[in-house]
Amino acid sequence: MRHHASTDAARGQNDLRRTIGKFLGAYGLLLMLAVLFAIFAVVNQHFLTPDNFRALLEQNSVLAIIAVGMTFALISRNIDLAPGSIIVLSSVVMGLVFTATGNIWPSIACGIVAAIAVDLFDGVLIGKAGIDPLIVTLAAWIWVRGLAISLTRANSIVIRDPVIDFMNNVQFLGISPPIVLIGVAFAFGWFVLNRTRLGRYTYALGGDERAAIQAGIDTAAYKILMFGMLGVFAALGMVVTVSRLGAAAPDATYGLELDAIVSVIIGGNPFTGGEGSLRRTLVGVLFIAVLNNGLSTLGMRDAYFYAYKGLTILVALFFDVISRRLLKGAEPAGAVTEAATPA
Amino acid sequence: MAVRSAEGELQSAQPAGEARPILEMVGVTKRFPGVLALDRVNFSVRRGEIHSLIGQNGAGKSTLMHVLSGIYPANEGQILIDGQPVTITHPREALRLGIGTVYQELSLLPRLSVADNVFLGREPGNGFVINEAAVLSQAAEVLAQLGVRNIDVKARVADLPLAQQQLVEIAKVLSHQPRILVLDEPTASLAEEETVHLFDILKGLKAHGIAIIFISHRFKEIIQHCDRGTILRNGKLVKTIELSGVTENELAEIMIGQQVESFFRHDGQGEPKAGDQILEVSHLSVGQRVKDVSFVLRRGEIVGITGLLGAGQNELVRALFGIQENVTGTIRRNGQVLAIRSPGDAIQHGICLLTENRKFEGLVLDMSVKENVTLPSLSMFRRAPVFIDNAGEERATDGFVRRLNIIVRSVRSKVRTLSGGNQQKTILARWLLRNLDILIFIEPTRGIDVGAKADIYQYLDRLAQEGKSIVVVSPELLEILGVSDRILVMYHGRLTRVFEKGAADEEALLSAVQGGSQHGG
Amino acid sequence: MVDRASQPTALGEPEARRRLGASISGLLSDYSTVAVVIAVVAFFGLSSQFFLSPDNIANILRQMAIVGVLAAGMTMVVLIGGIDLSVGSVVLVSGAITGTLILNYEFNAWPAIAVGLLVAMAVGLLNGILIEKAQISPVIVTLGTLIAVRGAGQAILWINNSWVWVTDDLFVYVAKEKVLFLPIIAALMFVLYIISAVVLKQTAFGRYVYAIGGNQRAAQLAGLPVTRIKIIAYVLSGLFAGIAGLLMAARLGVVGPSVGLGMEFDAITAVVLGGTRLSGGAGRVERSLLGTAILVMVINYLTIRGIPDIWQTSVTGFLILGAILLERAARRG
Repeated sequence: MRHHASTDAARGQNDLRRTIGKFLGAYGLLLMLAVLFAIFAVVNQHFLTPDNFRALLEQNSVLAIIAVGMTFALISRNIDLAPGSIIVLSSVVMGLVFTATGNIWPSIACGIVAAIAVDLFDGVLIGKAGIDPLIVTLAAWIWVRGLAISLTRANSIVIRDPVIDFMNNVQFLGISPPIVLIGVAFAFGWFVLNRTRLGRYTYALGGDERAAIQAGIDTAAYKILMFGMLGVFAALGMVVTVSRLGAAAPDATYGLELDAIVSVIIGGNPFTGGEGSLRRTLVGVLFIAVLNNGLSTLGMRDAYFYAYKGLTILVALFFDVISRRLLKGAEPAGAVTEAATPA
Repeated sequence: MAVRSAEGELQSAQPAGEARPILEMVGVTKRFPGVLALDRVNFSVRRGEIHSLIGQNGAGKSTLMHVLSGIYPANEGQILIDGQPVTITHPREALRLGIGTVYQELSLLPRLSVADNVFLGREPGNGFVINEAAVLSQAAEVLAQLGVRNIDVKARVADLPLAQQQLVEIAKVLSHQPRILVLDEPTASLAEEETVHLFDILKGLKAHGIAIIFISHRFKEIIQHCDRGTILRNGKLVKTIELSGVTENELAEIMIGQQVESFFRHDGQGEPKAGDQILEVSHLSVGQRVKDVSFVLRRGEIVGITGLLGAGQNELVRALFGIQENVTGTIRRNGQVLAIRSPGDAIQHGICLLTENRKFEGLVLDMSVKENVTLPSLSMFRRAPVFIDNAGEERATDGFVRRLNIIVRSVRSKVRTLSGGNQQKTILARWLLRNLDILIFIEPTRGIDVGAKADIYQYLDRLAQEGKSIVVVSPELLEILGVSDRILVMYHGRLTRVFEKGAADEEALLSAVQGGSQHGG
Repeated sequence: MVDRASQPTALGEPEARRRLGASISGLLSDYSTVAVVIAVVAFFGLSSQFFLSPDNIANILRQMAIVGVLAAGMTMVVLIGGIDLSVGSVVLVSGAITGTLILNYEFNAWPAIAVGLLVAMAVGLLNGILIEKAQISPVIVTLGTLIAVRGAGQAILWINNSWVWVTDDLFVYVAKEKVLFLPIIAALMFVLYIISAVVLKQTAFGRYVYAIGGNQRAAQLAGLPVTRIKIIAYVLSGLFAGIAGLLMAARLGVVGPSVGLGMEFDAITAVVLGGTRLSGGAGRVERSLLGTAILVMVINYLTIRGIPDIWQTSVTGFLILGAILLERAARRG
């Protein structure tokens, strides 16, 4: 005979916890986002203008694009610390080719190839040689940018071309190409994540790699493939970065990867992987974007900027943890449950 | 219909004389270092039957099935499928040959949907894109084939109750279209009505001609739902019998048979030397797993707790050590209520626990023997002002090495290099060093060779004589019988029977473990 | 120490000789790291006449001091299975606070130092609590504190228009002087390493650290105060970062807003180069000293040879990559 919960009161309390937990989990961040909006709007009337919104999106377009890729990395229980450096290196490659040929299209092509090549290299080290992704991408973070700096002797390479101008100056209905690319990145990411094997196995890798191997999935190959795809996002990021700067700058995109990781996590994707969605990343990116933009339109200088940003992130994380705790206490007991192992 | 001799003794089932069995394992022998796990076992299964594999822990049931499902090969013997000899060296080969196995440890991805799990790795679609619609519809088909109507293929596996998760796992295996389905203790954690539901489904599969091998300890359900049963004992085949009309007692008799060697008998010098009460457990409950259990523990006695898998005995003792959640009830020592919420609390009150998982939960494999032994007791080895008295540590550990007869080159050797039995003794040394007076053991001799087993039993005896109170949790009935002064039997979370010293024998205990009441079984 | 060689044991092995051997082989057990250091010193020494000059060696030692201290703290955290990305910011904030207190509030050196170090430990405590009690991943938490603490540090620097000059006598003395041919900064680093090594090897705390890193569940079941020890490890990391920050302030003579930027990665590189695994439970703090030595010597060599600054970053990255691959190969072989 199935034995039910000891009292109805206990059941009721259980349900209350679940409801609060679910609510906080799903809407907690949106609430904070709304609060942020309100604060910034009140303090600075310039915040709520369409111009500012477009600027907000444009300033954080690279972040958004990279965050899509980072979502894949985190869902599969990996991490990628290199995208910022890869963008820089591939833009440098692009710049060098442009200086040599004067033709924008082969330059872009070469940049794309460079980005994907570096990520594939990382992928092989992680997938085939089994080295911890933190170390591999940490090393890449260092050597990739280092290479870029050496190639240009720390100078920027100016890139003047109508395509670049197009990216920068064109607007259609208030939407500019970088914003379109955000959409492209998310759409592409969503498709791969939800409709393809790569996406499905990304979840498998993060959920239970042993079960994945048992099911006959070639985990090494898919890890490599996934990192290669991260290269695609880095390439997109390269295009936007070069356009906004009008040059290939070896000191660009510092801190990008950290922002990206924070965006993905704050949006609600667990760091331990196995589950997650781009919808959550989108919210997280918006959060960071609004934070970045709001603080700078407030005229915050570096220190306050960092301090408040860090504090807000910690608070948001705190709520996330609370909601997880509430949900966990109320979960039905089952053989297959989440393993909570902080990385 | 069960075949009996003139005296009523059950005879082996004769081959029916019709079509060949779908599976024949002939003369299968499997050796592990120091152990003969399977000794020329013959085992055959017909199409469309539910065949139960029966035996005590260590009898060889799992080993036989591991050989069948390709986890390791047999040393001798042959496997024939549909009359054709086959070699199985890898689980994937087994699958290809039509052998599907559902293990107790489910291999599902909790955060994916039911449909995704069923087809993981084999999703319909072209090389890159998955045909989502096909995944959903085919998964629904498989579930329908199983006879399962109330699971939504889009539901997340983690949100389903265990019984349904198990059905998903079966569906996953079924989607490979096996001819032979092996289920390893599927009902261990199921409630009665879920078990009935499971068997309905299995009978549906039976009707499709699938041969089902069912490993279980539970006599009631074996007799009620299975066609034939094969009983193994100590790696040897005892009999294969038709199950209809067989009683639980008869099954028990075959399983136990005549024990030639007299097993270790706890020498209690006649009467129970019941000392004073040292621990009083009242109305202890752990969620759904343990319900309202009360008992007392006395100084100098060894209490054995046993039951079927999942009866709650493990959760009960873990609650005593502070590593279990959802605990209600009280634990008293000398009349004082104890608050035990962590191992540290338990240790302070003199309670320690040695789990069955010594490698993962007991020892730090990269540390030395002495470091492992002294780990909770470092305050005893202080050398001014904050240093560890290494020499003292080694002396103390050496002492235990001698007392417990631990075979090791030096106390500085990494504990990883010791055999299972010696590792167990190392953990025992750790708690003895602490001089705690309540020691709880879960499966103390699991995976340990016979020689070390005897050592451990003798030592338990000696500890009890010294006045310590010992609790032994084990599914091995002979072990419990041999070692305990008093035996507590748990069934579905409740304490259903208590045997005082000398009041139990194998049959009575087996019956109690199966849920039998005081009178009859 | 009792001479056990004369005591019969159930095991019957002569102990004294083995104990000495064990200590030495402990350090040499990872032959590769020591071998690399020796090889590096030999190669660089032979190919450049300046490399082994007393002035340059002093220079190397001074450079090692700061990253070395950071690496020691990082090793502590890595051993229990965590990581601390905020140390670079703590380097900033400890220097900023101490410098400001001395410059603007007329503190004496030692009280100011005490406050700076207390703040550093507080950051470590915050990290530890968020990671262990709130169960948030160490990477995320220390990323957050990295950002927040840097901000706090920079805010403090505003009081002096973002540049705090460090001219206190104590600091100048420490930066310039030597003790027994060793620059004081480097001597302090060595002392810290000796203390860390002794603590890790010979105290209960050290034993707990290795147990927790080796098998946290077993440590928990043995009744160890796991949460407390892990938090202490983070506090220590903060403390060491604070010390590094003060050493840096002394060495540079000034604290600016970009002090310590990226140093956490240098520290991690040193730990990895030293051979300690990031997964925890195995490794010695002395190894991180070797790793620091390799890192600094390579950079120093490049500087001497006139190889432009900009290559140095790539080389560091390649180094860490090489170290990992070598370790992989060694483990397979």
